[in-house]
Amino acid sequence: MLLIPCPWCGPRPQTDFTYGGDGTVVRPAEDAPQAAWADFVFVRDNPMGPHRELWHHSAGCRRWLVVERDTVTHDITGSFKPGEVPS
Amino acid sequence: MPDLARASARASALATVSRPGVGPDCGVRLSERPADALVQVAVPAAARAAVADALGHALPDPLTAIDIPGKSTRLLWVSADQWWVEARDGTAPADLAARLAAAGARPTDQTQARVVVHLAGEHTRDLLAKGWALDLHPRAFPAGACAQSSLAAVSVMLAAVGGGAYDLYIPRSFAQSLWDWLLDAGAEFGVGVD
Ligand SMILES: [Zn+2]
Repeated sequence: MLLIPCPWCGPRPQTDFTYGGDGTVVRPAEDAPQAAWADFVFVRDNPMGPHRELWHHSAGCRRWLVVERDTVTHDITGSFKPGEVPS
Repeated sequence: MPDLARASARASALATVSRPGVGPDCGVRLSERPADALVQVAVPAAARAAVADALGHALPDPLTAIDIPGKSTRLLWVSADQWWVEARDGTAPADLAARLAAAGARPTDQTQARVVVHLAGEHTRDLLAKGWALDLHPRAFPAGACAQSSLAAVSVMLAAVGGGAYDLYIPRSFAQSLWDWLLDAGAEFGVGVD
């Protein structure tokens, strides 16, 4: 069980959240080539180590957040409101 | 034509559940506390002052609930820029929603969506702890605190109302199931219904 710090609610159990996938993919421009859209929709890295991912606090405030999680150790080193994620 | 809104407001989702009586050894007492109106509001920052004026009280901080002094109205924080307004003074949900909308809030009537159950007694916290992950010790969750999380895998709002008692806001369609869980999980402490 992960303990995920929601930026609005504080630490909450993993079971209160829904995983939303890779939080680093960037939406292509509307007129980007089809290959760029295929990458955006289907292609994901599978990194070992620190990763940023989307979670939805579905049993709590129902907000989306970005969580910084190590995929090997499960250590969580940060969580951010969308739009406030440091680069 | 029958008044369907009033008829459904009186129909309890807990009409058919088991209701063991309160005995001398009851460690937990349950009671249903139907609200007259429960309206969720999204309040843009620019409308906060006007909404507070309309309510006669400031909107509470995150993770807190407040009973407005002298009024049978409770305000509960539910999310960023979102609150519940719960009235027990006979206010009709549509009237409350209209008053809040006039002040610039975006209301959604939730009166029929939640069943409110009051829990009291010396073992209330022990019972909740069997299905609730957050720390309910008064140091961490004092009177006036509220939180949404899972109780026995059902998403609920829990508010600490003082004196070791709690109000539980259960999604209506899960109310019977969670009531049965409360009776079952509370059996070891003695559980009765007021
Ligand atoms: Zn949250």
